[in-house]
Amino acid sequence: MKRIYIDRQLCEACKGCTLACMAKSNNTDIDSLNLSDTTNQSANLVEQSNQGELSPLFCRHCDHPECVEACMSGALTKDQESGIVSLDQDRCAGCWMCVMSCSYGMIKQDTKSNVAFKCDLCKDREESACIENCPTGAIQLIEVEEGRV
Amino acid sequence: MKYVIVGASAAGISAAKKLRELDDDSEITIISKDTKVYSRCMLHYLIGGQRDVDQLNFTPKDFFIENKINWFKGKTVTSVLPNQKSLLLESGENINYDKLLLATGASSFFPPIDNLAETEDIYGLRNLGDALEIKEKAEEVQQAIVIGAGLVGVDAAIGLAEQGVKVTIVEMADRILPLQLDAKAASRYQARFEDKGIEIVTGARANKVLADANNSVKGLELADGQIIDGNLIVVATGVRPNIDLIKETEVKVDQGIVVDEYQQTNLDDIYAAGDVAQSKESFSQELTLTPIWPLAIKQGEVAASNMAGVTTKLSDNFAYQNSMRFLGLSTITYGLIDTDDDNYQVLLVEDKDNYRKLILQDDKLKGAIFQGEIDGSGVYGRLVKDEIGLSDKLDNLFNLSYADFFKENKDGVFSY
Repeated sequence: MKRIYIDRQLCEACKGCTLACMAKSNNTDIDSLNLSDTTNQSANLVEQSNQGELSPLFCRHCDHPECVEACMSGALTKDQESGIVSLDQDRCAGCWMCVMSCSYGMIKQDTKSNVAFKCDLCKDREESACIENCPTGAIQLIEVEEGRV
Repeated sequence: MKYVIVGASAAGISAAKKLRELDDDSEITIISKDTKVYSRCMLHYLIGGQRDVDQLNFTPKDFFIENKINWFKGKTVTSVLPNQKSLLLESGENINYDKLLLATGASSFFPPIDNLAETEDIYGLRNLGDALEIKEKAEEVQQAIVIGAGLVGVDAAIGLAEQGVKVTIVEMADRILPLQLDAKAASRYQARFEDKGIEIVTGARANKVLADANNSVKGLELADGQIIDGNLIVVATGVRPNIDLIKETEVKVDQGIVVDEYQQTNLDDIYAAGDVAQSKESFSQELTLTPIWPLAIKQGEVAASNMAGVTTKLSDNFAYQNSMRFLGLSTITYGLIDTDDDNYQVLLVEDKDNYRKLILQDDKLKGAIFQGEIDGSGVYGRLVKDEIGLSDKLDNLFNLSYADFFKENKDGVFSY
């Protein structure tokens, strides 16, 4: 399966990954993204620690995803082949047990409705939008062995 | 190998799935009273009309076929016969097992209130049948009463209110959701419920159910003499594990079926998981029931692994966590919700839409409440669950994210 590897030393917090994810979530491109729309949302985060270290953060699509275990509606599933943990918003009941269970804060409330929102690794695109739009190489898609924790 | 699972809810289904993952060939049988798979956490959406029965199903389409699972639905297991490694069904049938998982869940508890057992139109809210009956009855009545303001009671009240029924919630404690929320967090919900027309009576003890000439409910008399009108009562005063089937056996029972960290009972080849099981909870370190969905799933998986011969311990049996969303307001809590002990330090922030509370003991987080904005709260849950030291972060505790703990291995796996 594939996972986004983060080299946080290279991150300059340009938030290009965040904008790319917002654009993808709105089915548009970065140049057309309405930046004043407060419902824009991105599945990734660029956070600064209290010590000032920058960390771009992306869903791990964990081998044992706590969010999937916590999901009482069946909306969250891990695909056995691709390893991708994806959310079916139509099934989601907005109970937030996934938000409660993700130790990394990588699943959140959708800004537009009472359902969750998370990364699907741009499974319907050729390349993940965030990676495509990272100018420093701080994030890259790596192949990892299934089942490795 | 013949695996038999009793119960087709969270723990039973998760165990069956895991068993099939680990064992391609063996026979897996689920026996359940339920004739449908459904999420109990969503029953109130059925009452409120937001979902139909099929939309309560939490399994993928064709789950039983794809995983080659035999499902005996609508069947009650009367007793477990450990010496014969067999189950006796109410229908008189016998089912043999090599490895057995008891995932029978729990049933609504009806407290000893005068006239409660004898009167019609009184329901628990635990099973699909309960929800369907409540929904049907709700179409005929104008007023309903919910006894108990825990998560189930509040869910029921909102479901009924969605149907246009005037609801009164009666709660013994001084606030709603007393086990999940502190006074401040509860009060923010109470205000919303009252705006929605749901009346809340706290500090109230139900004394007697009042019936009309047809023996149908017409109201509830409280201990202080106050009478609350209603033609339907939902009793949401807790649950009791379904343990009748092992009463005649040597299986160890306390509040529920006692299991070790492998989900095994004191008898060989008999396991238990989910709401029926009593296990060592990791936050309290007590042997207790752990009736939350994520743990039912985890315990089912652990039981299945051990049944299939893959020795697996349940590592985090953390039951002190809750999430909820009522009337547009969301809350997530971890660990302690309140303390009057001087050994703890309590930090609060609040504004119009949000309330956050952290409870610290030395440099460890012992409890957290996030109400309103809940994104990122899972980081705090991990800090409580794993008792992570925060000595270098004490000056900025409300602004922690995973960036403060960032640790990634070469496969991109995070850890703390």
